[in-house]
Amino acid sequence: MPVVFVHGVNTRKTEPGYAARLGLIDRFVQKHLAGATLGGVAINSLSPAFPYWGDLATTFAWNMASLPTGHVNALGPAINNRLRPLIAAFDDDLSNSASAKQQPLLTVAKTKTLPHAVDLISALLLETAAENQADVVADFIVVAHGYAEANPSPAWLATLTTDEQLLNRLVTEAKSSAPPGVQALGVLDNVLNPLAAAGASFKAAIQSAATSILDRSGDFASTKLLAWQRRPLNETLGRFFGDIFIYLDTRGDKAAPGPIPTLILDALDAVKNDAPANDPLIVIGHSLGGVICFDLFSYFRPELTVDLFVTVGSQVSHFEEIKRFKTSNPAIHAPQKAPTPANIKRWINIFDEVDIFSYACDQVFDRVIDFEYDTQTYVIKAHGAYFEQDRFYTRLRARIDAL
Amino acid sequence: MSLIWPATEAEVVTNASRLHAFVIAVADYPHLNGGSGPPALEPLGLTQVTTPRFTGLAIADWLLTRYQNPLCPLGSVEMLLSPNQLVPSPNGPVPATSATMANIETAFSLWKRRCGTDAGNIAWFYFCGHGVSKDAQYLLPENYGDPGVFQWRNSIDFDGLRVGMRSCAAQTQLFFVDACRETPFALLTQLNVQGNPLTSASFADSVSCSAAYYATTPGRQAYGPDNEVTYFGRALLSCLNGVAAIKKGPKWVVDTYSLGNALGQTMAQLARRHRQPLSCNPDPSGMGRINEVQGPRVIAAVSCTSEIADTVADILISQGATTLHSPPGQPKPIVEEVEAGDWTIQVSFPGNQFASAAVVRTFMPPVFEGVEVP
Repeated sequence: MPVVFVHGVNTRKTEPGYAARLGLIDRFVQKHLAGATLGGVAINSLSPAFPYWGDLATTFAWNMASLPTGHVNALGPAINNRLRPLIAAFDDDLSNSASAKQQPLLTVAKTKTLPHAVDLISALLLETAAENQADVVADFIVVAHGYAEANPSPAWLATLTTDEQLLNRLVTEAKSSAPPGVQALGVLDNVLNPLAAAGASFKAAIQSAATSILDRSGDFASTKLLAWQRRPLNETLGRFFGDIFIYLDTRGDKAAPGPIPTLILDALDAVKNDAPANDPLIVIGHSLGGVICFDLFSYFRPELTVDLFVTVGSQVSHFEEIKRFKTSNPAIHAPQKAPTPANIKRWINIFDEVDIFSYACDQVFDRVIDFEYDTQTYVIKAHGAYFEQDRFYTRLRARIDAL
Repeated sequence: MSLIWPATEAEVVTNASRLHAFVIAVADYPHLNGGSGPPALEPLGLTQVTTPRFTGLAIADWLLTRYQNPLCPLGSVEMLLSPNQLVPSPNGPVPATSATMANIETAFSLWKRRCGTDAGNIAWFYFCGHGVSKDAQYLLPENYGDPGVFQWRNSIDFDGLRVGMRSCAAQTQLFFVDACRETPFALLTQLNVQGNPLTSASFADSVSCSAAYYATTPGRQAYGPDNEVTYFGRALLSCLNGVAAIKKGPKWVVDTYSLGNALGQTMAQLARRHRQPLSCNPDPSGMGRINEVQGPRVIAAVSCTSEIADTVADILISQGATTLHSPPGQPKPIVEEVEAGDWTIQVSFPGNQFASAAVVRTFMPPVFEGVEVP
């Protein structure tokens, strides 16, 4: 059974962690969908195809030079823009983040849970690991999530005093089930270096921010901190709306599909052609990827049978509310429901209330099953967090089994 | 007790040239990952290992039973072993002392003093355990990383030790570093990394031969199979037993330079056989006669010319009654230590995928590699 993952807005191969994120989705899908059936047919081919349309999406002629910069210049390396939302979330998460700056990861693990810390560590790894570390990073995240979900508050946490101990212990636990073989008289696993780098980067960033941002009281969190993390937030929002405009402007029509529909339809055709006849098709659409897929299935290729359509953090219902699909019918509105295209046999829509880019669907469409999922993250991070979390796939599997 | 042989300090010969050995093998790190003690504040990604225990005993056993040098017989074997256990010796089993920093300092002083009693002595230092490298090579004793003290208080600065040993009278000094030499990222983040060189030397001190043999090249890891002797330890023992031997007059001798070449060649073959990224870094730095052997031995590394042929090949190597056999499906190349001389190599293909062949080849140390079959 072919699985196709259509990415959403804000996805670029040049962004840190792109390859690792694909590797992570591939591993999680294989781990959690193994043995699942759909309509009585076993899911056999679980390695997803990832059609990439990011190169066809938004570019910025001035590289977002229009964004205001911060008020303070440092005569040295500034805090990595991509770490700023994580630091802000860290601040939100803890009652006194300034006091936690010495051991931020361990503090999260102890004051919240190990899965919270692993979420943070995973996000850091994905943001900081080099491209050639994608496989080792993806492997580690899958195993670490599995361990943390099974052991949310292990007794050994109380014995640790440093972030470095936590990272080492996580790797040790992740390796504990590894088969015996050859030992090295050195570092126990290749992931230790990217982990140590991620941990050190985060601690340094937290400590740097703490001296100027986090430990100031009053309105700082709600005003200056927001400004401090504005650039990465604006980049996200800028690409979000930019990618939507580009898609709508260039999608073409059925007779002459635009480059993005063409690219994704070609990928769908390729996996269908490679799969055995009558093998069902699963399409997972994230964010705008779900919107694009809905457009493809409802208008561009209504004859393509999709056995399971999974939209995650997507805006399909929002686009239907504003009647932006090719097949949108302005005459259909509340309390009616728009029809789910007949070629979509099953449709699961997943959203997180914290993810401001995600929407519920079952008040707008018929035949869709809404599924609320809590990423336990924060506003901006939530939109991309689903696919980095082991528990997301556990729950998706449960929903598929219940179909 | 760290003196394994002879039984007492008083029995140590100090008025003639002798080899004095100091073997440290650490396979228990209570403060590193998986250890029984309070964890190090920064464990550096280091975990428990088993190979040093087997390696340390194998090295001590070789010294006690196989070392042969009429010009410089064995004088003493000092050994620290973690976890401590009985070490076989000619005087019966001797309980080894654990390889803590304090015990290493004490044993090192005794060893250096013995080594310094005669310029003709050979000082033999073998360390097997965790190592890391930054501005220097650090060797880690059992109690490395004790969170109750400065993280680097219990560590050996090997580069400093080697330099400091210039102050020792023994003019042939052999150092074997069976440890990793990589630089974990976590180590780069550490300030004030400094180990204890255990000794010092002055500008005027020098030795004619200070040979160091590292189990791996700078920046890389050293390996060994679980619960067995490390690959470097295996290669070293093979070399000392004759793979590194060269003819000097009527004798077959292993010297510091021949050992360097043979070690590199042997590790390369072990890397092929075990498909591990094994390397080696010999630094002979002076001529020294180490060991005499009855005759030369060879690392025979026999395989076909392609992996496809290897998979289906049946290889038989024979010399008289001695045979080595690798049937189809078994890993190739065959890598074994054998006597030098003429050997018959028969390569057949039970599935008739290629033409069979039988050839006679002369195996000469250190390595015989491959046949042009098919």
